[in-house]
Amino acid sequence: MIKSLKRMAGLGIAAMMMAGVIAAPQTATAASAYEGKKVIFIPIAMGITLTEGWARRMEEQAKLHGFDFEVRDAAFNMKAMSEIFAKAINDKPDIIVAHNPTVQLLARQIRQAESKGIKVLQINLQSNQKSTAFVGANWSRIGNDVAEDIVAACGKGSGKSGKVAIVPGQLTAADSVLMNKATMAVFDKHPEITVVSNQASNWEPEKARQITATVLQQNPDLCAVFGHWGIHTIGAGNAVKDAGKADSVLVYATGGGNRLICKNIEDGVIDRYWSYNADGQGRDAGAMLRLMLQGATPAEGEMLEVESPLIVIKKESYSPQQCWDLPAK
Amino acid sequence: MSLVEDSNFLSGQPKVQKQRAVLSFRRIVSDLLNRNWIEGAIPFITFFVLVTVILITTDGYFAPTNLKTLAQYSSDAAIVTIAMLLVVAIGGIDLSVGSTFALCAFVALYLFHIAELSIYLAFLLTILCGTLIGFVNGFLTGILGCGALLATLGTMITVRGIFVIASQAYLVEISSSARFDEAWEYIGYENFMGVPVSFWALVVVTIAIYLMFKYTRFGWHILAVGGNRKAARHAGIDLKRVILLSYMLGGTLVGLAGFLFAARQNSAGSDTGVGLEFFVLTGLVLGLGGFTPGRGSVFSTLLGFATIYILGNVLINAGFRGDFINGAMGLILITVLAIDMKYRKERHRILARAYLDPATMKVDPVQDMGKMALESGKTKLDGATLLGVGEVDGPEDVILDREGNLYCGTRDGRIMRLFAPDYKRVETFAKTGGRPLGLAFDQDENLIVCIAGMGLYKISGPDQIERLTSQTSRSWTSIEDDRQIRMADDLDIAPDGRIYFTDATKRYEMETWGLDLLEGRPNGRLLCYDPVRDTTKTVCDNMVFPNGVCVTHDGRHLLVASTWTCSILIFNLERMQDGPRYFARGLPGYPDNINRASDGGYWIALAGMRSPVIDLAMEDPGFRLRMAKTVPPTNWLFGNLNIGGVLKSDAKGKVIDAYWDKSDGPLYMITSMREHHGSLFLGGVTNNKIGRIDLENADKDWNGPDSYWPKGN
Repeated sequence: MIKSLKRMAGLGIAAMMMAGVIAAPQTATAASAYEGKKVIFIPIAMGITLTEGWARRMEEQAKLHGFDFEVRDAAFNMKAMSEIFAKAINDKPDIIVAHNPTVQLLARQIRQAESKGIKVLQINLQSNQKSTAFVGANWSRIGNDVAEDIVAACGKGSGKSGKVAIVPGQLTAADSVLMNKATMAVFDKHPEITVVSNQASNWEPEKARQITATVLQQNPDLCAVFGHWGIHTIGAGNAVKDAGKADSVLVYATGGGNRLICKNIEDGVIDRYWSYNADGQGRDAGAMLRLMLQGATPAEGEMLEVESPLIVIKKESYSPQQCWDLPAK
Repeated sequence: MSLVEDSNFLSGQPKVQKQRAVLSFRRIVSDLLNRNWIEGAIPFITFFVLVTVILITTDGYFAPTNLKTLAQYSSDAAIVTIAMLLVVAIGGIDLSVGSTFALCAFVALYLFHIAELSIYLAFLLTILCGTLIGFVNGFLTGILGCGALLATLGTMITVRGIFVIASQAYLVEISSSARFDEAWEYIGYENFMGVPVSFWALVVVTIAIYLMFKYTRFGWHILAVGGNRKAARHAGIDLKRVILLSYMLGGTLVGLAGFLFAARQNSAGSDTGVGLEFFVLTGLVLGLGGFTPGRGSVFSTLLGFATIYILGNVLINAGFRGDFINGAMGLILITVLAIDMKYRKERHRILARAYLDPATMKVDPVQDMGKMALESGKTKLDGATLLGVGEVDGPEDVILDREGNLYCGTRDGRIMRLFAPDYKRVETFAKTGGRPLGLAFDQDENLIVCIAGMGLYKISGPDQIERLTSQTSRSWTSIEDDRQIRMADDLDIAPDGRIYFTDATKRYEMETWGLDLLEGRPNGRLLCYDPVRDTTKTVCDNMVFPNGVCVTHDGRHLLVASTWTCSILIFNLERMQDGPRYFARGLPGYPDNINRASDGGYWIALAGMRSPVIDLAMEDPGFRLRMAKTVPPTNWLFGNLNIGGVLKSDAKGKVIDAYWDKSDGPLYMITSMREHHGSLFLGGVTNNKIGRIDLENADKDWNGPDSYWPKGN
C-alpha cells in the first residue's frame, strides 16, 4: 500500500515535471502587463529615509519588470504638492502613488484621477477619499497601543503626574487624525492622564524641539512625550535631554525604523518606538504596484489594503537588527 | 508782386532733396535705451529664455491642460504679488502677506465648513479679514509712522500665531467636514470659458490695478508717495491716508487670494503661506529689476512672478529634489539680479555715449552779399532804442497787437506785455510754465504761443491760457515714441485758421539744442494744427532744425527757416505733399524767425553767423564726434552766435538789405523782429531787452494784425 502510494507520488511528480516542460513559466505571462506603463510617485518630501526607502524598493520593481517610475518631490510644500498632483493627472500615468500630507488636501484630485482611469495607490498616509489601493501602517492600532503603554507607564500606580505632550507632524495628516482619535479614546477611560499639549511641528525637528522645551518649562513633571513621527521626535527628545529629564520623561515615537532611529534609541533620545518598517512597506508597495498593473481591482467601495506589520523597539529590549539600513547611492 | 501772379516763380525754384528717415546703429541703440519699456527688458529676456529652454527640453509643458493647471494654482500667489506691489510702490513692504494669506484661508474654511455660512457671506468676511490686517499694517506704518519692515514683521508673527492657535483648534474638524457646495467647488476647481475661475479673478485684479495706477488719482498718489515722500507731501497729498489705504487695499487682495486658496485646496496646514512673502518679493524684485518704490508696473511684476513660478514648477516636475530646487532658484535669481543691476548702471553711460550721432551735412556756399556783407562794417542795429531793459529775459519772439502793445515770452515762462506808446509800462500778461518761443495773433486776436517742452497754447486774455495741442501722430519708422511735441519753436496762421508750427528737434531740449547742430541731422518737423477738428498732424517730417514760420503775403505759401542748412524753404499750402522748395539758400548766417515786411518782402532774423571752419566741420561727422567726446563743451567749435542781425528779402527770396548788430552789443543773437507802423522791433533769445529801430522808406500805416486779418473781412 505504501509502496503503491510512493509510486503514484513518483508518477505525479513526473507528470508535473512534464507539464512544466509543456506550459510556459507562470511569470512570463505577466511581463506584458508592465510594458510602457508609467508610475508617478508624489512624496511629501524626498531626502528622508522613509520616502527614499519606499522609492528605492518601488524603483527596484520598475527596473526589474520594465515599467517607468518617476518621483516628483513636493519638498514639504503642500501647495506645490496639489499642483504637482494636478500636473501628474495631466501626464496620464497608469498609477499615481500619493503620500497624503493631510486627509483632505488631495481628496478631490484622487477622485478626479480615479475617474479618469488613473489608479491611485495611497502610501502610509491615507486621505478622506478612497482609491484603488492603500499600503501602510494601521494608525488606529498604533495610537491605541502607544496610549495603553503610556497609561501603564504614567497612569494609576505609576507614581507619575500623568501629563502627556503630543507632538503631531501635521494635525490634519492621517497619522495624527487617527492616532489622536485612538489615543484619546484610551485616555478618556483614564482620567489621571492629561494631555498638556498637542501642537503640530510641521514635521520639523527644530520646531518639535522648541515646542517640547516650552512644554517642559510649563510642566516640569511631564511624564511622556508622544511624537507622531520619529524624525521630528528626535528634536523633541533632544529637548528632553537638554532639560536633563531623560530619565523621568518617556519619549514615544512611531516611524519607518531606519538606522538613524536605532542610533537615537541607543543615545537615549527616544525611549519607545513603534516601527512600521519603511523598507518592508517599500517592498509591499512595489508588489502592490505590480498587482495593480496586472489589473487587480478592489471590491466596490473598498480598497486593496496591505497593513504594515509593526516592530516595537524599546530601550530596555533594544537590538540593532530591529532597524534597517538605506544603502548609500 | 504776389507769388501767385508770378506763377513760374515757384516751379522755377529748386526742390529740396527729400530727407530720408535717418537710421543708424548708434541711433537705434540710443533710441532703444531711451525707451521706458527697456527697463523691463532683462526680466522679459529671462522669461523668454526660460520659456525657450522649456520648449526645447520638455514635451507638452505648455499643453493647454498644463497651462490650465498652472493658471489654477498660481493665481492666488500672483494676486498676493500684486498686493505686495501696491505696498512696495508706496515705499513700504509687507512681510505679513504670508500669515495674512494663511489666516484668511483659515477664516474661509472655518466659515464654510464649521460655521456653515453661505459662500457669499464667507467670501465677504474673508476679504474683510484681509482688509482688517491691512488696516493694522497701514495704521502702524502710515499713521504711527513705524518702519514698515519691523511693523509688518510684527504683524507677520502675530497673525501667524493667531493662525496656529486657530488651526490647532479647528483644522482636524475642518478636514473631516463633509459640507459640499456647488459654488465652492466651482470657484476652487472649475473653469469659466475654459479658464480656471481663480485665474479670472487674477485677470480682473490685474486690469483693475493697472487702470488704477494709470488713470486714477489714488493710483497716482501712491506712485507719488513712493517716488518721493517729501515732494508728495509738498504737493498736498495726504500721506497718511494714502499709505493707510494702500495697505488696506493690499490686505483686501491677500484676503481674496486666501479665499481662492481655501476653495481650491479645501484645506490648510501649518505650512500654508509660510515663505510666501519671500516668494512674492523675489518675483517682484525680478520683475521690477530691483526693489523700486514709486513704480506701478503690474505687468512687469507679474512677468517676474511667472518666471520664478514656472521655473520652480518645471524643476519639480522634472524630478529634481526640493532642496536642490530651492538652492538653484536662489542662485538663478541672484545671477539675473546681478546682470540687471549692472545693466541698469551701465545703461545711462551707454546712452550718453551713443546719443549724440553726427551725420554728414553739406551746407550751400555763402551767397555773395556784395556791399551788404557784414565785413562792410555797417551796423544798422547799433543805434536801436532799448525797451524793457532788465524786465524781459530772453524774448525769443516779439509781436505787436493792433493797438501797438508789444508782447514777448521770457526764459522763466511768462508772456510779458509792454504798453504802447512808450513801452515803459511792463506787466506779466500770462504765466505758461514752459519756455514760450514763437508768437502769433489769430483772427479773434487770441495770442497763439509755441511753448518749448509743452506744445501749442492759446492765450485769450490775461492769464487765460489753454492748451491747443501737445502731441502729433506717431511716425512708424521711429523707435522713439515721437508723438510728444518736444520743442515747439515758431508758428504762423494760414487764412483758413490752420496753425502751422515747427518742432525744431525731436532729440534735444531747450537747454541742449546746440547739440542738434553738432549732430547735423534732420531731427525736426513741420506740424499743422486744425482748430476746427482739433487735430494735429505732421506735415513734413525729417527737416533740419525747422525754425521760423511765415505765411506769405498772398496767404497761399509757407516759408520755413531751416536753421543749420542756412536756407529758407517754401511750401505751397495747397500742395503740402509736394514737399518744400528753396526760397533762399546760402545765407551768411543761421536763420531764425521770418516775418512779413510792409513792402511785400520778408524779414529774416540771423541768430548767428556761419564760418568756413564750422561749414567744413559739418562735412566731417567723425571730427564732431571726437570733439564732443574729448573736448569740454565750452571749447567746442560752434557757429558764431556773438554777432548776427536781420536780413530783408524781397518777395522772391532775394536778399536786398542787411541790418547787422555790433559785436559788443547792445543787441546780440537776434532771433525775431516785427515791423509795426514804420518801426522794427527786435527780440533775442538771450537778450534782456527789446530793440527798436525806425525804418526809412517803410509804410508807416502797415501793421502785422491788419496784414494777416484785414479789417472788415
